[in-house]
Amino acid sequence: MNNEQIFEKVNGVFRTIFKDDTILVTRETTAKDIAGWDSITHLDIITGMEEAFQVEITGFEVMNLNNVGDLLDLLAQKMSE
Amino acid sequence: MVFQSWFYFLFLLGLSGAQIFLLPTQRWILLLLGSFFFYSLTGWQPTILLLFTIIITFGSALWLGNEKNQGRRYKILLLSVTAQILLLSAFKYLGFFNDLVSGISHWMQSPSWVQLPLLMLPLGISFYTFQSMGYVFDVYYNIRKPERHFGHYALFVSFFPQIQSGPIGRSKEMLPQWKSITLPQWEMIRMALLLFLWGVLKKFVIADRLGIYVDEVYDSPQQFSGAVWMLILFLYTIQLYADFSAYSDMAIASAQVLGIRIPENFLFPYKANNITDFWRRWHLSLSGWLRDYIYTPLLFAKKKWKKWAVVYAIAVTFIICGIWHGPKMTFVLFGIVQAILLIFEMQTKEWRARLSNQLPSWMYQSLSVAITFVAISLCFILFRAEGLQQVKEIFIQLSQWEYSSVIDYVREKNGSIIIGLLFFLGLFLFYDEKISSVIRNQKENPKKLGLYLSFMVVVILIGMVIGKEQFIYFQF
Repeated sequence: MNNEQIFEKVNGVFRTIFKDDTILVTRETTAKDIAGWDSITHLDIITGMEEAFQVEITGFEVMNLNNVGDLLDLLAQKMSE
Repeated sequence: MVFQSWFYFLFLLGLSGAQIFLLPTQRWILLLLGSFFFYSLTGWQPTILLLFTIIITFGSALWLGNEKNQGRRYKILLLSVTAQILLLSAFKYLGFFNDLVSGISHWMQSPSWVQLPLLMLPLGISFYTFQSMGYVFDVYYNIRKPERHFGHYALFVSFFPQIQSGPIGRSKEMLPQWKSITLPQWEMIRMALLLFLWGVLKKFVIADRLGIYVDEVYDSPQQFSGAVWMLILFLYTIQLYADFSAYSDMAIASAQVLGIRIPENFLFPYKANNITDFWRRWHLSLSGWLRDYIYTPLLFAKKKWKKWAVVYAIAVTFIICGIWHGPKMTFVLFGIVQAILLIFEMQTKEWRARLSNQLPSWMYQSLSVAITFVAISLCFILFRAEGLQQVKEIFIQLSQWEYSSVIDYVREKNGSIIIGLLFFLGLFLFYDEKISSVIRNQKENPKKLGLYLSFMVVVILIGMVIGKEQFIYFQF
């Protein structure tokens, strides 16, 4: 899976969780940019990514995510392992 | 040394003036010496303890930085956090242990089998312990590299505007500032002065005045009816905010005069429209700390539990929040009640969203703010009461409602003063956000600011004549 495909899939997870087909995240997107992105939704996003990419994201890794770019890099790294 | 004293003001101005003679890269030395002088006024034993905390957290972070094995890193983190919690407990929670032992002994109808000697509570220990612990967490989670400059790190933990009652600083925001300290421009100093005065005004004129009425009712709870109690609960809610936000404003202003930025601690908490919102506005440096270092790790450690992970993380986080405030069952209960309210809000989120669509938005918003304020005022009984017995007494009084008793109370207390005070409080809550934005606006018209400044000085002088008290949050 290349970076573009990862990005498409990640954006799809965001659209499903926020029930909004117009969402278009960027590498710089953070919780402040999307209304309703609280800690509970954050949990849904992480578990949504785990299911979509069939990977496991640890609590330690979550602590280092500052924006969507960090999440994309983490997923890309996990997919290549 | 309290902020609202001439000695502190001269100390702050002296340090600020002396900074001019040093290079930006050397100014941290002066601030460190000033901070240790400031703290040493509380005694040499607390100063040694502060130094000890600085050494163990500085050392454990360096150790974490040098260790690559994740299992061993976790053990180092545990060791460091345990050492800090033990230190904090030794000074803050022995009384809690004694109470627990006495309670169990009383229940078993036997004499207490052990009573530990109590140690004096070092000033700001809860605040600097969390600040330094947060730094160790940051290094553990690779959020930042360990600080290798001992002086910079010692200043991060001991910085005098923050050490007594926060705001609890974060390493990634604070530590880089010591490398080169730029002196503030005149606009910044003017803003800081205004913010400091605004803090003094909130403390002397609002918090301390309200304290007189609140203390009297709390001293003899059974003499007042439910309606008077409700009035007093509202007054205490405002007193606590005025008192603690006054301290925070003075801390932020003091740091600004020295060219240092420290985080804001409040975001107009009584405009919150639910308890979740309240915790995004109240004591931000503590709630942010708890969110990042307790709630989030717990939530993601148990993420397979889905919604129950949230319930678990909220419950543990808020019990810790309660205990952090002090060694009393009332604080533990405060944490538990907050957790229950937050979980309730989580469960009713969709129902509330539907309700908000059915009511006019102004009505839903006003009702939400009012209900939240009442709920917070009731919760703060646990903050102010001496113990669970008094909490029970207050709730019994609250159930005996007599509207006329409020009128009698106001009459008895010199009605015009109380009505004037309530009017002033209304203005304060209504214009809090506006005043705050004017004070923080560096481009504000200097003449207008001069007018505000003069007004504040006059009001403060009037407040000073009537008397002064300690900051409530110093006890934590």
